[in-house]
Amino acid sequence: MGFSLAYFVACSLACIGILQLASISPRSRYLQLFKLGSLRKFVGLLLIFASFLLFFLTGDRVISDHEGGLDANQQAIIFSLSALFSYIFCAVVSQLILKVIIKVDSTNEITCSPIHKKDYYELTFSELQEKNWSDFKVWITQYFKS
Amino acid sequence: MVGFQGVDYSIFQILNSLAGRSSELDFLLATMASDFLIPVGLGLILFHKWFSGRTDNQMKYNQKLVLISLVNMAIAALLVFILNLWFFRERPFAVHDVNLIFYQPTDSSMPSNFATGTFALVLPMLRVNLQQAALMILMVLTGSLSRVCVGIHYPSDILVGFMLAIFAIPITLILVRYTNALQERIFHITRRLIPT
Repeated sequence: MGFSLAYFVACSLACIGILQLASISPRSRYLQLFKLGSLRKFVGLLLIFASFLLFFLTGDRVISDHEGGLDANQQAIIFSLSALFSYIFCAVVSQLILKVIIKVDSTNEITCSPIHKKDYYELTFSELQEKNWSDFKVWITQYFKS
Repeated sequence: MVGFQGVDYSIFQILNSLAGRSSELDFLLATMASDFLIPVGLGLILFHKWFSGRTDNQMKYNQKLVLISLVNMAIAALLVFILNLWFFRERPFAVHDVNLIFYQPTDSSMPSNFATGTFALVLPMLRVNLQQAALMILMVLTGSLSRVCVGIHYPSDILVGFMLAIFAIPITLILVRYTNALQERIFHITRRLIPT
């Protein structure tokens, strides 16, 4: 496995672990991969430790960027991509398995927490992204028309 | 060698004498000093911070702190870049006989990019809670001192890095103060894409 790929895999695993720890908060419950809170915590911590062990024990990781390592910019880009990947992975898998609903109120403030106002609608993660995309198309069209 | 430079080199020698004693300790020092362990660990803490918070306000506050941390790191990196346009210090392994157990970086030894970047990332997060702040400071100190132990920095490089990170804070706060509308826009878009 190449250095960049190993870094991406390790970061993605660690980010999935972090999201499982974060999904203990009710506001991020649409990222849960398991219903049981203690299991999420266990898997989260396990993934974080496993990712570091996997990365550092499977090759020489103390190498310069001139010799096949990564410079700071490459690291930042790959870390961001792995965070994005793990976020989409958790949200999509959670939607498929646990079918968690995201609540959107009329002012487009989005939350997973209970909304006391009545004027909100419920969406799955993919429906929300479809809505974001269609709203974006309307916004960009209006922007160039005006 | 007298004065500050002498003290600096003496502390370097003490810390660097830890290297080369056993392969296990060398592996541990090199891993802690690596470009991946501490920076990724801090990145993961920020990533967690973005999604955590009991109330709406707390979550928004956390997300704002994450944004300020990233901006502060970028400004500190810019300060390092500007400083290095005029100032270059040779690495310890280039001028002394040292126990080098790390690859040989070619950029200026002072200030330490690692210490500047990580400390700048951590500084705004110190307002969150004491436990997390202590953990992050410990991570930065461990990583920074390890880089002295492995032979690629003098202690003063680390110190100047920390000072630059502190110096970046007022610049960041001024920038944050005058870009409120832009921040609100960024958060509005981000919360639609990443609901929390």
